[in-house]
Amino acid sequence: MKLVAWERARERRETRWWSSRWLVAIVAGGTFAAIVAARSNDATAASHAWLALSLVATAWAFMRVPFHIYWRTDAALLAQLPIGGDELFGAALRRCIRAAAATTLACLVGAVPLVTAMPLGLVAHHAIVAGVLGLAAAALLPAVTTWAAMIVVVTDRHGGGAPALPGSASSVLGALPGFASAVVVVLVVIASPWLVGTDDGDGLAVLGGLAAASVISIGIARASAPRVMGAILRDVSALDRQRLAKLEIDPPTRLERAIGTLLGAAALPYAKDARLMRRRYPMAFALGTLAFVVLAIVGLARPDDPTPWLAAVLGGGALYAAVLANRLRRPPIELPRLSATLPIDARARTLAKLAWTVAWLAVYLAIPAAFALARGV
Amino acid sequence: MLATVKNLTIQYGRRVAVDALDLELPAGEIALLLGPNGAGKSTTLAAMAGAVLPSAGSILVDGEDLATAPRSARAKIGFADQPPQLYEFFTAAEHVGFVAEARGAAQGAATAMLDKLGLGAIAGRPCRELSFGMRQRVGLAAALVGPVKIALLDETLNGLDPHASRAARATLRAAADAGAAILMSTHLLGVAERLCDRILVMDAGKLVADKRGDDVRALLAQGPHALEELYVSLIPDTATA
Repeated sequence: MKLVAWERARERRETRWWSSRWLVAIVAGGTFAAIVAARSNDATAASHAWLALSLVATAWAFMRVPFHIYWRTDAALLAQLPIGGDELFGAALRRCIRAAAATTLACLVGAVPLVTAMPLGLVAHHAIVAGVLGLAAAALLPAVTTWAAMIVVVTDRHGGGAPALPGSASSVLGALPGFASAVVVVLVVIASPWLVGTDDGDGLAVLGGLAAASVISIGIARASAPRVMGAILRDVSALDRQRLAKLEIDPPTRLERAIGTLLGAAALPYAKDARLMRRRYPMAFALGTLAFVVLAIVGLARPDDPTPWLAAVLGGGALYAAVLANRLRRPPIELPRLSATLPIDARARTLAKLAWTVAWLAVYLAIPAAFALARGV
Repeated sequence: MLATVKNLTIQYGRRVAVDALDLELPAGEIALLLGPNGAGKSTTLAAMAGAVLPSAGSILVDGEDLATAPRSARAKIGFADQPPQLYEFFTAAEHVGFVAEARGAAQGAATAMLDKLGLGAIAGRPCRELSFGMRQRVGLAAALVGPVKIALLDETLNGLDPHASRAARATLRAAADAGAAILMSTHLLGVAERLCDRILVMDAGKLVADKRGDDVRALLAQGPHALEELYVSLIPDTATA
């Protein structure tokens, strides 16, 4: 079966010219370039801005890797069909590589204004970092993500058909790639002095190590994953359908109740959205907490140049809030056909979603950012 | 009349799904909507519930126009979609409770409705864990809970086990006896025979038969397959012709 050809056909049907990943990458890169250009009178500041934006873009690509490999909407269907593991893994890897290439393109376009701010040799350093980040998104993260799934499958086999700890299986699928992403980001931040030529080459060694690790890891995954790729899709889609995962049915929090009392007619849809978001997208709260902690640390540590940290966290947080706002409008949080038949105004539904998004932004970004600013950052 | 549909027309592009349909639903009546796949039954039900906008025509709910007074009109309508629209991450009780509260139902209405339909034991389970038949029943509970005067049910009795089917039929009959109008599409002619006060048959977006009262009783008195014979006589067999 030519799975890749089928995927191409589906992508052609699903994608409009304005949602092409390449166009999105160029537009995003153009936005990066404008921000970098605004700081181009100071080479270090421009470089820091570029790095922060590139890390945000790459972190987004990292987060998408599990969705290219096993959290696919068609995972359950693919798992039922007699498609070889080689082909399944190849198609998944192709999706990762294309997404990574688009991200790298955005980073490279964003680096163009650096030409006016620093020597070409240092601009090349930025291009190398963009390449290494792209390589990590195309190779290292897919490998780690595949291993995470393999761990779940192996646990499944030992458990006699069902994971012994389904909750922990779900955690492995999200946490292991998340941990690898964090390691990559930290290593690139450690190597960042090399971007402006202020280290003695250690940065290049770190980046070289990262690139080598990416190539080696995908080679290992490529050799072993095809044997279990079908099982990965089947088991993970079973978890994704939540037949096995445990769902915490907990009451609304005090904050949610307090916000609800302020919303009048929107209180009911808000209470619904708040409960469903907490259950369906627990990662929103984990990532929010991470952003809160980073901003709080910036506020406490008061680094010499806090811009990359603030830009990365606030920019990434705002981008993620936009994603969450979009999720609030779609199933399983919003059911348009059911909502259309209920006596709840469209304005009340919109206000509920706005309140949820604003509350998320306030709690996880605005409050710690205000703390950092109050500390003189 | 609890529901009055006048000249209802629904087009999807060039295709006419419902073609100038006129229909009235009085209080206390259970009307079964029969017809082949693609006849326009689901579209009619969805439009009467406000989930699909008509291309032309009007829908009056207890005297209120669904298009101009949607909020007050919608509180009186219960719709069980196909497949049931359930908040997957809510428990059955939470889902039905949310719908009940939206309709301004009394406290405890959701629990009472779940109990009536024999769903008390699964009330605390997330909807995503429920089987097909259980989801159908939760959808039915959500459609009937609260001050619903018109229940629109799209193949809602499909997939129910005999006990669940009996409980559902009893609940529907009780709702009709309390003054609700019920319009339900189904292909389960055996169930239809035991439940209906009125039989509507649609084909190609039009109503081709409307039997009620003595006509229905006379038809059902002809024997266990009378409804099937009526259906076959009205609807050409395009699948095997």
